Amino acid sequence: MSTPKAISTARAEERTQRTRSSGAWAIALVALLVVTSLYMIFLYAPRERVMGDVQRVFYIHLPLAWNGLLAFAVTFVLSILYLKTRRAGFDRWAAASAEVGLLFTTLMLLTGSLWARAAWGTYWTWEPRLTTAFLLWLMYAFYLLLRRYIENKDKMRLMAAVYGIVAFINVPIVFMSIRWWRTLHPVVLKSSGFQMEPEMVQTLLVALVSFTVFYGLLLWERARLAQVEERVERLRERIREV
Amino acid sequence: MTATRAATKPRAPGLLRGSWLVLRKDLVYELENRETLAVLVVFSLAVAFVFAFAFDLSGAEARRFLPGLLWMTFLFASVLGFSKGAALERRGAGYLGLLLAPIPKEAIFLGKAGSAFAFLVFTQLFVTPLFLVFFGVKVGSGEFGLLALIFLLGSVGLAAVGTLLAQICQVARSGDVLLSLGYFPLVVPVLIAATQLSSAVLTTQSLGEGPWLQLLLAFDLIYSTAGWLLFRYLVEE
Repeated sequence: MSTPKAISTARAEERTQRTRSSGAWAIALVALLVVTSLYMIFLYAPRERVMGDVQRVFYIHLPLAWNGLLAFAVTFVLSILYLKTRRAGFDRWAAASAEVGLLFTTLMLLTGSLWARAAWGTYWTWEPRLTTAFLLWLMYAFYLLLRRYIENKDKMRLMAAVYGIVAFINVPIVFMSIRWWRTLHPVVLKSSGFQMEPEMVQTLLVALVSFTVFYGLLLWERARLAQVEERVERLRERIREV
Repeated sequence: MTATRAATKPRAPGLLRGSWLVLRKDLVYELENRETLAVLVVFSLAVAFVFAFAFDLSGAEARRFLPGLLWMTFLFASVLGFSKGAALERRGAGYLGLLLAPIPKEAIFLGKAGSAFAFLVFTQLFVTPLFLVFFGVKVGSGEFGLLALIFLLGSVGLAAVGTLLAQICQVARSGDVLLSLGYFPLVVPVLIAATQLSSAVLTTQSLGEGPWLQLLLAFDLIYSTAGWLLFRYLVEE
């Protein structure tokens, strides 16, 4: 009696396993890249003359910032694609990207704050980039909350896609408005520009590539996980029916 | 027979007429019940009271802080207005009626944004003189004209974003709570531009030098267009 169900369960299991094994070499690659970047950040790159070792935060901070923004841009594009095609896959990847982006933005704010304490003497200042990052965080936290608060899956995907578009449109407007707002006020704190040694540039580039690949891996795994979750949900429903 | 029926069949309203019908429906309902207006009036009074004690403002200080206080009040009041509007439609299957109405989906957006705009302007008309009196700030007629321009432009942006977001949140559990979470980060540019402009008017009797008016116009244009293009995805059934 339960043969068809057993077969489909077995098939789902097999598919999950395939995902896991295909991720193994990717994880190895990311591990290699991350270890290389860590080596370069802490041992290869020279000590910055003015700021000292604190400057090394920058090699992690900038890739996090860049990938956070990239992740939200991906959510934006995938949201448009979802509205056009209505394929659940686009929505799944859009949500996964927003989640990874929020994680990166959180870490970016934390690392930036630590660096700012040492370099500017304050954990926080309402500077354009900081403020924009903060607003990004708020908007995409809302995006993820919204997805949890709508029960009807089709409705949820539509609403999330529209918000994913509207939020990203806001990024340049917010950035410009805060920049104007700040320049009209006396600028108390300025980032002291430092000369980049070749080793520093190389370290930054390697870290940038590593983190971008890392973003790709997290995105892949998160989207796959979402797919598995959906499959489990479907199987559960089928069990309930039986 | 069929020919006469076709001739007498009422023509579906176009975009403008459809928008006007949605807007009029909201306004007529409001004039009958005065639910939203009552909420906005009482809320504004309560806020004025809270501000008076929280800041204890007078003289030049009041003039400096007034724009921020005004726009904070407008922002919070507009959230109340949006969630009130969404709640009204949820009750008694108002949305179903709107969706079944033979009008373009864009007309629903325009009409709803129009009524949100009307409520905002009402709030501003009520709150601004009240705050001027409460905080003892005197404003000339020239300044008043400039402030009115800023308030109207700011309200367009708030109404466009709010209408879109209220529609998104009304299908969610505890949508009213969610609404403010999603709304405030989106309207930060309006808040910055409008408070900057209002401050400039109150201190220099001009719109100042910054690009704020352009920013406000750009925001209005961008979010009206976004709402116009995206709203139909929100009202699918």
